[in-house]
Amino acid sequence: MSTVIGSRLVRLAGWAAAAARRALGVEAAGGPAAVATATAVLAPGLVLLLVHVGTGLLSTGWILLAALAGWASVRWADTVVPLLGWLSLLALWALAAPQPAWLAVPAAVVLLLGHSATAWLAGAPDDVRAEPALRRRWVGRLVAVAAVTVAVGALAPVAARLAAGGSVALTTVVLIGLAGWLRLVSRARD
Amino acid sequence: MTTGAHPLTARQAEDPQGRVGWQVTAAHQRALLLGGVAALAAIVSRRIDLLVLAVPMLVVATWGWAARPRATAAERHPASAGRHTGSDVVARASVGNRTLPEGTATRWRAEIELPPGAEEVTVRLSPGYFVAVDPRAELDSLARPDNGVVRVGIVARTTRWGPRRIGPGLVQARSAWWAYRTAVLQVGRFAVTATPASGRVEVDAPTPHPEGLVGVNRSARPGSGSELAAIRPWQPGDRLRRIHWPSSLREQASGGTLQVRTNYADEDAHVVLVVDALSDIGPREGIDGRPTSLDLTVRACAALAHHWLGAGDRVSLRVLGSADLPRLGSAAGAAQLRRIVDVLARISPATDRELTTVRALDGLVSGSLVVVLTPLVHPALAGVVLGAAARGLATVVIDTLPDHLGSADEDVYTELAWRIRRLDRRDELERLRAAGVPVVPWRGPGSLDLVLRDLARRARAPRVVRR
Repeated sequence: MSTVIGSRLVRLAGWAAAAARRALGVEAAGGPAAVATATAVLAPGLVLLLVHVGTGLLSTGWILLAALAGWASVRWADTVVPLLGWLSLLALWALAAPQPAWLAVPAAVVLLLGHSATAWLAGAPDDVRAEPALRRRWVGRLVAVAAVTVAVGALAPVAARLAAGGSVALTTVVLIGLAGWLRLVSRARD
Repeated sequence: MTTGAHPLTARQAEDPQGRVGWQVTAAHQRALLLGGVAALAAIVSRRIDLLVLAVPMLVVATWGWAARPRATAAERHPASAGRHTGSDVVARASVGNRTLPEGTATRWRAEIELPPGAEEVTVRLSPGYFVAVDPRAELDSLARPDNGVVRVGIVARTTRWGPRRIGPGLVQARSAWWAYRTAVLQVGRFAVTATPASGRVEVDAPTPHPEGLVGVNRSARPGSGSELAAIRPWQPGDRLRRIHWPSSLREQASGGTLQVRTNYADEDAHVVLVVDALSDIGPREGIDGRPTSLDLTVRACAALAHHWLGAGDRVSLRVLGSADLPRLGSAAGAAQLRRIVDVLARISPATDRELTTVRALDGLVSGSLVVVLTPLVHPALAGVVLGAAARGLATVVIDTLPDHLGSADEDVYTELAWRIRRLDRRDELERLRAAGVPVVPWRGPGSLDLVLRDLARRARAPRVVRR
């Protein structure tokens, strides 16, 4: 069952990537570039969907914003435009404050994937053929950061319930230390 | 960036020493700002969900910064000044063969030194004019090995004769999370020469007028060659080894004298190849597509030179219509073949329309076989050919107008223009044939056999020429 759903999701992503590339006039390419394009285009929409799930709000303006952000992420991947799009979505999230709070975990993972996809599109040729080791490295790192995000998302409410004062600032400092540690581990493994 | 433009061509920095530094990417700035703003908002508003949103960006930004490319302690030491390299990326390139037949490939190689912190490098070879780079040949985004030196080899294939350019290669290195990257470094632009493909030509007919010293063509005069001329009575001065004993015994029985065997001399011939570069007609599709008139001309010329030089004849070359090309004098051997294909590869059509046709026949001596390779489109060429024939030179015209020109798939006006042009050509061909000049369409191996046999036969017959 899960295999069927997975294959359908892959097919849907491929279709979305092809449609986006046609709409943007991007050269046809397969592999990582197609996945990256689909991810970059769909990520803002997914974040908005999570906002809608948490607040019950969804209007034409929101859809337009998601479409604009996704389009801009692909069209001007190597500029400040994707940053402005994501900042707008972040402001929207902060104002709408979707509940329950755990919705931020999938939103953060989507943000990570969208950011990485945009970085890929900005730096690599459309038809780049990456070494398998490089692809494994990217996937491994994305999983590691996503795991840290999930861990923080799971532990933060616990800390809040325990009323640990200043937990947010402390967590931020710990996160920076954790990133440095991940870097050291990564270098040792490479 | 992804609107069809190649990301590796968007920002190019060419360094004469093949060295390039690092710059922060928009991705790193985005991660830093998004993480910072979200974390600040989380601290100010004491909201956990905003902190969770900040987590991946903070981790990515910190990781990318911590893993940035840096010079090692040894490289920062003053003693290493003047040597590579600090944190720069240094690339060197080379190419295999600089001279290669069209349709064949050579390998472009690059050696890229990456500093610690550089995690991957993307290398592309920009395709040149009539140089094909197989886009699916090899991986082009590679991880940094332990020794920091990435070696890449990319196969490039020349698809048409002439001077060609292979490269430059475009090199870009990136750090972890693509937080830092180099500007695109252009490295290794090489000029190569693609010589015309010379297919195998099979000419069995002898060359007319062999008048040289040594060679493989049967001369009209007796000598010490291998082909039997006659058996005649012995004369003072004849060598003993030339006595033909069976005939001598038969003659002795009837009271005759010794009989000796005489042979024809074997001599080389002088072949003058005249190439019409006054025009190049047809779409240029390279060796894998349909040929232009000049494609056919130079390939036929190279093939004929290969054949006659291989047979020991002397060959000279004259190119009409291409500026700054030398006339190659008469010579034999492999070196002359190399000179001929080199000159053919440097032909630039229709760059000299003035004096070359007027002086095309200067210095030709009788006994030469003049082979004119032309599509017979420029009106001056018929005059050159008729002039050679009027001087008594054995002349052959090889018609190199491709068959596909003026075919039915052209538009109606082009087809009409070709019909008119072909009618004109037909008149010119008739004039040439009436003057005794054979015109042979180039059909590859064996095109010339019949004509050369006729010419050799005619060369031995008495004739009247205008002087």
